[in-house]
Amino acid sequence: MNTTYQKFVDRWQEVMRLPVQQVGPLTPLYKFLVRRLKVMPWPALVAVSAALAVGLYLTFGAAISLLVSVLQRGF
Amino acid sequence: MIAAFVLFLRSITGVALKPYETYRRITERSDTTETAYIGLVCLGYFALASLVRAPAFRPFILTRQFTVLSLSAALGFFLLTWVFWQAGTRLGGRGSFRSVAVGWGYTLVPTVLWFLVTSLLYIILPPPRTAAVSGILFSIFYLTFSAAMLGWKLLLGYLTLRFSLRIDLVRILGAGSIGALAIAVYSFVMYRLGIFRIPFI
Repeated sequence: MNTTYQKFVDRWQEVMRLPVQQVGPLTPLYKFLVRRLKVMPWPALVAVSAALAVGLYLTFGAAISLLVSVLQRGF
Repeated sequence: MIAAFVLFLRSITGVALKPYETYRRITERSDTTETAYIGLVCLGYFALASLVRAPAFRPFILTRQFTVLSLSAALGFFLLTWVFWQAGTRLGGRGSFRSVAVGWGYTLVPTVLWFLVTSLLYIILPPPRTAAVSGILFSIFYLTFSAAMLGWKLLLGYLTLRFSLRIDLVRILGAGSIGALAIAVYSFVMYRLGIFRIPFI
C-alpha cells in the first residue's frame, strides 16, 4: 500500500470516527457559527465578549463596577 | 520528557489559534505527560496566589494555603473528568478516562490565565471599582476579558467532549448539563470552605 493512499485511509478513518453534527433545521446556522471558531476564534470571541460587556453596562449602568469588584476578589 | 514538553508548547499555541485541529491531535495522542505540565503551571499559579492571599508572610501559612489550593483544584479536576466521562459514556459515547482527562486538562489554560490576570490586577489595581469614567472603562475591559476566557473555556470543553467521547451536539449538551450540576456542587462546597470564591475548574 503506497504512502499517499495510506495517508488518505488514515485521514478518512480519523474523520469518519466522529458522528456528523446535525441540529435539525438549525444545522446551517450551527455550521456558520462553528466555522468562525475552528481556526483563530479570537475575533469572534472578543467581539461577542465586548458586546456582552457593553450590553451589561447599558442594562445595569454603573452597577457593573460592583460586579467587577466581586470578580476581582474572586481568585 | 523534552519531546513531551515541546509537544505541550505546540499544543498550548494550537489550543489558542487552531483549537479544533489541536484537540483532534491531543485526544488522539492522550499523552498524560502533557497533563502533568499543565499541573505544573497550575502549581506555579497556586504558589503566586498563596503569596497574595495569605494573611501573613509565614512559611507555615504559605505552605498550608498552597497545599489546600492544590489539593482542592486536583480534586475538582479528577471529579469533573470522571463526571464528564461517566455522563458521556452512559449517553452512548466511546472514549477513555485518559482521553477526557487530557482534553479537560487543556481547558485549564483559560482558567489559569484568568486567575493569573485577576491576581495581578488585584495587586496593581485593587478593588473596589468606582463609578467614575476610568472605573467604568476598566470594568468594561475586565468584563470583556472575563467573558472571552469563559467563551474559550466553553469552546475547549465542547471540543473535549466531542473528540474524547465522539458524541454529537445533543449528547454533548446532555453531558454538559450533568457536568454543570457537579460544578455547581463543587463550587458551593469550595465557597463554603473558604477555599475558592470562584471555582478553579
